[in-house]
Amino acid sequence: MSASEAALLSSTDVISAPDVARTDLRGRVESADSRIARDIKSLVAAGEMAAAHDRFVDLVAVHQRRACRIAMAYLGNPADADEVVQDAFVRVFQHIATYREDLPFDQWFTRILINRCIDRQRARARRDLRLVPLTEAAPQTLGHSLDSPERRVLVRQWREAIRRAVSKLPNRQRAVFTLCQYGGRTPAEVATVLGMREATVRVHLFRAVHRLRSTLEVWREAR
Amino acid sequence: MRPGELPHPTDEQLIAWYYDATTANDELELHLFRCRPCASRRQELATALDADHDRTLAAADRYFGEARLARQREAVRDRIAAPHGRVLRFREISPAAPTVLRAVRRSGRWTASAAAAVLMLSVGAGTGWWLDGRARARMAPPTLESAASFASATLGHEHQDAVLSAIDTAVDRPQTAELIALDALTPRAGEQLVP
Repeated sequence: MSASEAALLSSTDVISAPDVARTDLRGRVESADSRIARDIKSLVAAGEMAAAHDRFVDLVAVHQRRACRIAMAYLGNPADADEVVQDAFVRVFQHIATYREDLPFDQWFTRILINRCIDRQRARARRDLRLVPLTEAAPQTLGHSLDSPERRVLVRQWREAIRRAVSKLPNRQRAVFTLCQYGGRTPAEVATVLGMREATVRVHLFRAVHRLRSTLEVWREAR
Repeated sequence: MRPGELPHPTDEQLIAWYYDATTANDELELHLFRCRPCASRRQELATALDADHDRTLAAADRYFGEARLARQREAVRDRIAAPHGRVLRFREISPAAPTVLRAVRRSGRWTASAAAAVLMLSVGAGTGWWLDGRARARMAPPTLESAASFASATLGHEHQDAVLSAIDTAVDRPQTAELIALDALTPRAGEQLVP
C-alpha cells in the first residue's frame, strides 16, 4: 500500500485500517496495518533498513489521522498532540522487533499512544503547578443567529469548556472516554487496548460521561 | 411500567448502548420504543455526545490538514532514520581518556586546596603571633610609660607625689642611667621659644 493510498484510506474513516482485512492460511483475520507491521518487522530483522523506513511511512499514513484526533482530544493542545504522535510512532519503530504478530497492530499502537499521552499530561501537570490558571469562561445566553460571529465565539468557548472538563478527568477515565468518544472504540476494544476488564471500562466511561454531562448539555444547546 | 416489562434503563445502560449498540438486547430496544421518557433521555444523551464528537474531531482535522500530516510523516521518517532519534547525548568522560574538562576541574581543585591551606596557615600564624604578644606583655616588667599611665589611671591626686618619687627612683637605677644623658638633650616645655 502506498502512502497516498493509505492516506486516502485513513481519511475515509476513523478506524478504517483494521476494516481492510484478509484471512491468512490459518484462518485468522489479519488487518492491513498488521500485515504492514509484520513486513516491517521482517525487513528490520533482515537488516533492510531503508525498505523498512519506506514501509513504516505507509503504516504511519494509515494511523496518523486517528492518532492525531485521539492525542488532540486527550491533550487539548495541537503542538503537544503532534509531538506525542511522533513519539509514539518512533517508539513503535524502535520496538518493532517485539511486536506480536498474533495481536492486532492497532491495539498495540493505541496502547503506546495513550501511554505517551498520559506521560505528557503528567509532565504538563507538573509544569502547570507553577502557572496561574486562566479564569473559566462563564456560560452565556444562546440567542444568536446561526454562523454569526457571536455564535462562533460561543462555540469556541464551549469547546474550550469541554476541553477543560475533559482535562480534569482522572487519567484512566480520560483515556477510556477519549478512546470511546473520539477514537471510535467500543468498551470491549478499549478494555483490550488498556488491559482492563470490560466492566471496569464501562464504569470509567459512565463516571466520565456523568461528570461531563452538565458541560455536554450546554454544548448540545450551543450546537 | 407494565408487568413483565423491563424497568427503566439506567444512565449507565444508556451510555453503554451509545458506545456499543450491540450491548442492547431486544427487551431494552422494546422498552425504549415504548417508553417515551426513556427514548427522550437516550436522544438527549446521543445528541450531546454526537455534538461533542463532531466538533472535537472537526477542530482536530482543521489543525491536522493533509499538509501537516505529510510533514509529520517526514518528521517521523527523519527521526527513525537518525541513528539515535532525538536523544541528546552528552560527551562521555572515561577515566582512560581524560578530557580538557576533567583537567580543568582537577587544576581548579588543586588551586582551591592550596588557597585554603595558605589561608589556614595565615590564620594560624596570626593567631599564634597575637597570643605570643599577649603573653609577652603579661610577662614583661612594667615600663615607665606603662607605670605612669597605670598611675594616672588608677591613683588619685594625693598619691601622685609618691608615684613621681618612684619614677625618679627608677630613673636613678643603674639600668636606666644611660637614659639620663638622652633625657638631658630632650627640650623642656619651659625652654621652648615662643615666636
